[in-house]
Amino acid sequence: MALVGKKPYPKATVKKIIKAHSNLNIKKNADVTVYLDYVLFMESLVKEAAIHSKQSGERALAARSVKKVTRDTLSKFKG
Amino acid sequence: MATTPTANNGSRPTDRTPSRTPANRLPATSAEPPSSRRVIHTPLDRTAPRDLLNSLRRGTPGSARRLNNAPTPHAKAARRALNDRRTAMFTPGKKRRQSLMGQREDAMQLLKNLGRALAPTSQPISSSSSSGSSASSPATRRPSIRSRMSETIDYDDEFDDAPLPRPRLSLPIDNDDDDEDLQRPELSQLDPDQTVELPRRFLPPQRDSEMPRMSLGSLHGGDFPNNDPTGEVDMPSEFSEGAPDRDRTNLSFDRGTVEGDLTRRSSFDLQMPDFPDFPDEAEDDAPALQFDSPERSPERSPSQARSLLEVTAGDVMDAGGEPEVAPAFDDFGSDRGEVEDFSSSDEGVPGADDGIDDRGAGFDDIDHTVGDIADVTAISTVAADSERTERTKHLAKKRKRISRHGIEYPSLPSTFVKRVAQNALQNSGLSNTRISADTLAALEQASDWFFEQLGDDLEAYASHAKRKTIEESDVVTLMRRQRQVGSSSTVFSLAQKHLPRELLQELRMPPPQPVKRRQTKRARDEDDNGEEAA
Repeated sequence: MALVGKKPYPKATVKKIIKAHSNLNIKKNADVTVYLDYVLFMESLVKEAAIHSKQSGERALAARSVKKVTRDTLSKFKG
Repeated sequence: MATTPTANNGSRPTDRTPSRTPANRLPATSAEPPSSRRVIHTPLDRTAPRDLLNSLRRGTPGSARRLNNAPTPHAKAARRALNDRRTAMFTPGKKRRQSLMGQREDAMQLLKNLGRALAPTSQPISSSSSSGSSASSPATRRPSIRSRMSETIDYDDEFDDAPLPRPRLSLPIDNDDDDEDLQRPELSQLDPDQTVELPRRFLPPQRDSEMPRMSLGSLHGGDFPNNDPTGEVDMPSEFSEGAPDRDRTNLSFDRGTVEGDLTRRSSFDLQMPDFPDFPDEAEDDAPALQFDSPERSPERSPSQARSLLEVTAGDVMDAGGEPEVAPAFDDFGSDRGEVEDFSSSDEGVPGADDGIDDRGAGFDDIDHTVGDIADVTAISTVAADSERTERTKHLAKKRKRISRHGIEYPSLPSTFVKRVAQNALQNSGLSNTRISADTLAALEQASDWFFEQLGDDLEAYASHAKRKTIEESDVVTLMRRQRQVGSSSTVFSLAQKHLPRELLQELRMPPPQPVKRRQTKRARDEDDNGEEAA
């Protein structure tokens, strides 16, 4: 997770995205938590997709399984 | 002696304290009659009674915790002496020495005693009968027996001639065996002369002489170059025939592959001009659906093309106004401005502009004169151009998209998405942690949706709190709602797990800069939402 000599995440981009979607400003360090949430989402998404693709007998992460799992994971992360 | 334990017990607690306490001495003196030794005190051994038994008892583990109770050399010597005396007293050592005599008593002693008792009186018995005969008699008897035995044996030998040839037989047999034994190790050795191992692998004999047996496997590789110089005459006919066969097969295979390639290429080339395949691919993109039929038409008769055109024109006319026309038209209608913008920059799009214009003209034409082939081609070009514009629009969409609130926002960089997913994959336990392009696209799509949803939720929370800024508390609330933060995990524990250290630092102690905050607040008050709170 730790990336040496690289910015951990595109802070400005994340801020812009959230700002565009919410039409609100973002406080200074809130985006760190947003990034944390995103990482958690990605983790669960990839985990579910990995389980799905494993069940379907694929060795790598399959796009199909990701697509199938995306909806459930999104609903799980619905606030 | 029975009193000494009590004396010891009494002196135990006092021994830890410095010596010569009255308690130490008094019971000892009271228990035993005073002696001159009692008065003497060595500095090491403080206990008053220096009896041997006392020193012995001191050696026992029960009293081991006493300080400095190691027996003095004198005590050791005394103990040794006592033990020696004891052993001398109680061990049956003397009796053992006597017992050696006693053991002899058992059987022989009786006779010996009898002999001793009788010895002075008795005389050695002189043989009454003739001593010489008695001495000779066994000697004579023995030879007689021997002679009988020898006679019988001799008879046996005489009768049985078989034992005699035995050694004779054994010798030649042994010789034979020896010969065989000599031969066998030769067989076991790998001699090129021996033909025993030949049936294992068939080889032409000439090959054998040429090369060592060990290089059997490698023979196949260097078949031809080796044999050609040595002479093709020696080559077995089968082999020489077999090799060309191989070549032939290879050639044929090559031909086949070449032909296959050629046919494939040719078919591909043939298919390339075939238009229907190409639009079929385009059909997946959907908006250009209606223009596909006119595209196929140029190969067909113009009448068919006209009919198709009528159909399309009818559809268009049925649609009448804008709303129900094909999605492509919708897009054009709504995004025409954008398309024009793009057309100025991109290469294929100026044609689109013309095409759109032509299309506008084409509708009129279709209305009145159901189109010429020229119009058909024009429309087809329009379709192609519309596809191109669609593609460019997709690209543009990837670059910048517009949210619900009409604000453009950039998409997440795919490298970032890939990085996060890769990190997640390593924890997921899938063997192959590669992420294909399709998967990455799906993940990007998912993360886009996620951020959209997240923005909406955060907006709801912040607006519910009547704020115009999304704060960290909103995000934490969201995470609590997502069941990410709960009794089992806090934000910090999750951050500890998932975030790099510098971000963790930021999260743990957000640098509160009140001056800057005020400045930003003022700026916000002034500019309202125009600027970001940096």
